[in-house]
Amino acid sequence: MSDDELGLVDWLNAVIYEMATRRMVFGRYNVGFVDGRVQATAWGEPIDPVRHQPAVEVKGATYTELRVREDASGEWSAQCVVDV
Amino acid sequence: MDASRLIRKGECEWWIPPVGKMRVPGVIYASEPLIREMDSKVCEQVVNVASLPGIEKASYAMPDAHWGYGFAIGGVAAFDPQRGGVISAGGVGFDISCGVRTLYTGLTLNDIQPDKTRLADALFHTVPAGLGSRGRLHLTSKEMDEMLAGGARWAVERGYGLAEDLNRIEERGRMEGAAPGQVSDQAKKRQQDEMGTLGSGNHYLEVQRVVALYDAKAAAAFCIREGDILVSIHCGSRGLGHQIGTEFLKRMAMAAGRYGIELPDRELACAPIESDVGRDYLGAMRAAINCALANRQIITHLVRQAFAEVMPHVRLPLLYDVSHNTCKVEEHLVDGERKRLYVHRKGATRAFGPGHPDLHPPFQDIGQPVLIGGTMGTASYILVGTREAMALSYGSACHGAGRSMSRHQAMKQWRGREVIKELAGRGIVIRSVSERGVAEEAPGAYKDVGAVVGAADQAKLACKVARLEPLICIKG
Repeated sequence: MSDDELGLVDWLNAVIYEMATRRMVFGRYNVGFVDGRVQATAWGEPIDPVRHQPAVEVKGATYTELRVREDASGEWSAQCVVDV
Repeated sequence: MDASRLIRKGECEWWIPPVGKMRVPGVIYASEPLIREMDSKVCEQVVNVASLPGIEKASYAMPDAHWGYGFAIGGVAAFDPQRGGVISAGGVGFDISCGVRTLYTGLTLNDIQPDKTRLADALFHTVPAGLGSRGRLHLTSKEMDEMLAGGARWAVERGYGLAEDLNRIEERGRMEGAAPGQVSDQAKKRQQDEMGTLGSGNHYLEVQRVVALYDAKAAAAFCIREGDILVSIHCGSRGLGHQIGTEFLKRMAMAAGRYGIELPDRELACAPIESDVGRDYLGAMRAAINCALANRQIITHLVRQAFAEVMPHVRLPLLYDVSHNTCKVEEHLVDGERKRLYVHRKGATRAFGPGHPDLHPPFQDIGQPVLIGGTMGTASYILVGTREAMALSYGSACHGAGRSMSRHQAMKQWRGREVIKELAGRGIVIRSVSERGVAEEAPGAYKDVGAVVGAADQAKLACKVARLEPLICIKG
């Protein structure tokens, strides 16, 4: 597991935690790296079941199919399966 | 799954002989059609689990097995601490102690038919469900620790439900050995306002009718008659369990190398039972079991309140409560020797047979009720544990229908409103905050629960007692 991959799982779990405890959904993110750490701001609003029609609660990020890679063209991709 | 990779040992029993790093064989219990339908990843995961240190006898998969992270959902495996055995957060799952409990109502269809809509509304308004819903209870830090140590017993002491309920819950409502101190502040914060909430996804609250009986003796022992109305609750340890799963998955993945454990797949993150991480997880996981038991106990109280609003004379005693995502220390016979093993059941129900010392009256002589949840449009089942299952699967059986289609596919295929209308035409009342959630949970997105239960029955993991069909379903 690379540091980037662990970082992705940690970041997703941080978002899941904030969603759960603030009872919010987020729609916009500003993510950057500061001194090797992920630092981010997320914008969202309190969950409104009628308007957002949420279906499942994300329980946590897993290590399934976890990949953070840069391809030959310099494009980055990140993938992770979350448990619902 | 390609059945030619397996050796058929019985109508519903398929073996994967140990090769490579496997320490024990893999055993999948399923009918031939279920095997063909099963994801080939299940086979891979059964093989991977078979390679973990200290595993005893075999790595098992139940008839409803499907691809999970690390362990298959529907996976059962037991480890011996004396032989370097491990404990795995992925072997339990995120929704620790998710389970089903069923209540009697003493009513028949004619009794509830005139009030069905009012009852559905009362249940929907009384039991918080869906993403972001809050319970009415806010726990202080001291109360949180008491709840995590006390489980359903704590809830009963607080006035949620009846003392007699406790005899009808595994572990009599309280998991011994819980360590609230090992549960992080984050996990506790996630749970602060979630006690007595149903959650979302496949969790539900159903009013059901017994439409068929298969075993008169067991039905009589369980006090179930054809036509009876029952209430079933399916939910777990909510945010607290999810957070514990998340944190220990990482701790175990990081620590495995330190303990010299070679993981065939990093999702199999585990730690020796006799290690700091292993012991910390055990204490935290047991606290989460108590959280789930307390949660279902509080919901039971709310269900009784909702019924009292509509039908004040009705009592709702508890039939039984089962958990299906756990790791429990149990005694089992391995090659003629009695061993204390750490039995992981992930998406598998404990199904102890008659005479098991952990069962108490009235189930000691007949075996424990095994409550299997179905979908909102098909059926649920009550089975009874068998003596045979103790040798076949450490006394374990399936836990539900198991998905056959992803949520994404289901959402493309169905619209929630149409599913609700179609079910209404069949006399099933659905109440949900999210139409999208209903579409994702459409009955067609699941395997045939009848086939799953039939295979469990045929393999003697547990025997069919009753089939229940839904009348009201509250979805998160």
